[in-house]
Amino acid sequence: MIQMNKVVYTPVSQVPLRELLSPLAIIRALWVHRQLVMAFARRDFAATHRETYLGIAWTVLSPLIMLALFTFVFGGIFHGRFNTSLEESPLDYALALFVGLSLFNMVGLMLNGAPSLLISNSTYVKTLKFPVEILPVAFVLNALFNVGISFSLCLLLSLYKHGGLPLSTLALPVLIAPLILLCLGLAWILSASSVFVRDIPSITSPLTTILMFTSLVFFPLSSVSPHLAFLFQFNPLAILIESTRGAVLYGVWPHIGTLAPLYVASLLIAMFGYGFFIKSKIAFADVL
Amino acid sequence: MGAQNNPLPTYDFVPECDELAVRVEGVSKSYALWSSPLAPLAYGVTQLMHPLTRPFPQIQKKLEARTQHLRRDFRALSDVSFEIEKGESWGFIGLNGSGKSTLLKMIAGNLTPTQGRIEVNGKVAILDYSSGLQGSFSGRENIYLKGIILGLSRREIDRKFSQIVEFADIGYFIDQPVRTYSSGMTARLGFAIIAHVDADIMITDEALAVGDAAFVHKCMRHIRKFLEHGTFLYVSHATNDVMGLCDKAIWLEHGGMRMIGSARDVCLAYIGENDKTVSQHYLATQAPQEQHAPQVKAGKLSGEQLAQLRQYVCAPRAEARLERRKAGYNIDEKLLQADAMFDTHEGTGGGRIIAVQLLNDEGKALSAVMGGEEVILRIHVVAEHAISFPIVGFQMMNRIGLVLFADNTSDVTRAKNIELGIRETLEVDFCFRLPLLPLGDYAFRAGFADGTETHNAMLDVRNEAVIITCVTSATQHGLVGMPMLGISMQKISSPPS
Repeated sequence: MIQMNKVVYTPVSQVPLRELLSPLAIIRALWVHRQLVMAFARRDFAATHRETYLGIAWTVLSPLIMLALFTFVFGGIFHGRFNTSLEESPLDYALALFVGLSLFNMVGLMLNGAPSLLISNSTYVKTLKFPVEILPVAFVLNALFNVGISFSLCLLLSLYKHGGLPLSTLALPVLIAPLILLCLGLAWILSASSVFVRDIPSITSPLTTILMFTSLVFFPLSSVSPHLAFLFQFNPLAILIESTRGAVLYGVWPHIGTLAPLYVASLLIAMFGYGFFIKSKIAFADVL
Repeated sequence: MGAQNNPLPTYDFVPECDELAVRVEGVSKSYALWSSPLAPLAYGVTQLMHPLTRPFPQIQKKLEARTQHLRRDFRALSDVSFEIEKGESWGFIGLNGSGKSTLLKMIAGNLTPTQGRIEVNGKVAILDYSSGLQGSFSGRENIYLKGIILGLSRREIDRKFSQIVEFADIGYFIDQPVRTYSSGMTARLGFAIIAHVDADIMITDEALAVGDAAFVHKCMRHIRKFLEHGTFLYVSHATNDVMGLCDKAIWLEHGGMRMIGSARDVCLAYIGENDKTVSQHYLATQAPQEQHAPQVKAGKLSGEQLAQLRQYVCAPRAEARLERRKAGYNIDEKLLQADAMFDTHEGTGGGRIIAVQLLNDEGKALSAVMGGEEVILRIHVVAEHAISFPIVGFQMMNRIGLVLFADNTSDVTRAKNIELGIRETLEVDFCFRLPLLPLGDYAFRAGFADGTETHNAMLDVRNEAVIITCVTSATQHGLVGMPMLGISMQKISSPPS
């Protein structure tokens, strides 16, 4: 039961700064609303597939269609290779592409979905007393679930093809954690700022395409010429995709030296996103 | 009615802090209005440049002058303060755009005040039926979703689920998508959910009860039950409902508090003001006839003249007066009391109510009644200028100001083609049988208007022109009693099986 005894509303946000600076306090604040988060994640997931004939199958089908297209273009026409040391079958190429595509899709969903999140849920902002900061959390959870399904499919295919998965697949949770933090931060920042700046959806849609080609989804880092390669070091998603592909498909354990800055960056983005959201939250109802 | 000139709330006592449900302190709300969609950007940039231009006051001044037109502040609410104790029910009245909804939205936590402070003690629920219901989900799923949104846990909803479904009473539709519901069914489901969240403070904006007559009764029963222990905040234009449901009321005007006090006082003042607005509207349409302006001045009665007139019309017929003198009955004293009350009056002027008396069938003034007797309500009016369609009317109200019944002379005025010349006096008798009344005080409100029943100028109004007390009563329930012709009970033999 939520304790709602005595609430004070004043012109400035009542959340003290130390609660925005401590990750533990943020987790505690969100944990209170766990049932609400689950209810909304479930609602969003159900709502996308409700009243369609294929239902949940679309979660798998639509990335498969994209995968077929990309495999045909980049593998079949451009003769792309992910791993030059091994004899790579078209399926191997498709799997390597699929890993990157799944992780990229997670961020792509944020860029395209988060800006309209509060606008489409304006009822909750305007007419109900409601902790709106959980909407982006539920959105991330829903995206994670969708991506999780296609990612598991990818692992199953690999298992079938090679008769087993490399031991380094165990590192997967360590690689997914910063991705979730990154997505949370993006969702909070994008959803809150689009309330005030309605141009953001128009900015994020070309950005998604740019990000897709600069996140090592279609080619490995080794295929990039050395004097351009350093540029990819600044894209956390590129590092993540490269490390995940290595861990899941080629048995390469992720390097702590590459993960550490990733963790720091994604944690900072998440915390900044939360703080930004909470501080600007009081003005939402005025603008929506 | 002098209270309406005093916008400041006065409290005779300082309530205990933990007994307060809501405390509003100096709250204002303003919105920035922009001259164009790009204006916020331009304004923001100049604000950022402000520290840079500080060394050059001339440039700064020029910039300020240039950007001033970009932003205009609209004050939806300004400096409102009041305190609501736990268990009280408050009505919020005022014209559209007076800030009622803004105020309640801030109490609910949807809007943030621009200035001031709001303290809310307890769980708030907004009686808002359809928001938060998802069209593609079934009623069953929506109960869980909205329940969780309103702060219930899954287990609590499990426990209340059957009650909610029973209350909504929408049959097998509970498992159909809400999209397929009629608007009435959606409202029923919405009300049923909110009715079961166990709120401490309930906020209602406009629609109080929804659906068909039977469901409206169900809603009202529920709200009355809530009133017994909960804090109720009610925005409405229906002053009768406010008087019936609320103890206190606030009248908001242009974002400020016009009046705060008992629901009855505030509502009566509000009604009076509205009558005046309608009258002014009528007079504005009648402007061409306003040539008799000097006549108005000539016809205007002084307080003294009015008192003399009152004494004259109220004086019993000669022989009756003599009889009363013998009995030591001093009619002048009674009239003096009435005078004090008659000092303040509303209305546009041009006609005055001289006296209002409630008489028994022998013509004697009544102050205590039993209910059920035949009475005469005698109203004397005088014209201060020529009045083409004089209408005299009255309303009988109970203690909290609910109108029990009312009537006026518009039909008679029209049928008999009655007109009043300057300084002419009219005596109107309403003869009727009082309904059976529960114990308590009752008031008659009298009005004197020119025009038709719907389109008129209220020349003069007397709130509480006559106050009577019902001393013995044959009825306790309801607003009025029925003269029951008989109650019979008898067993009938069961049909042969």
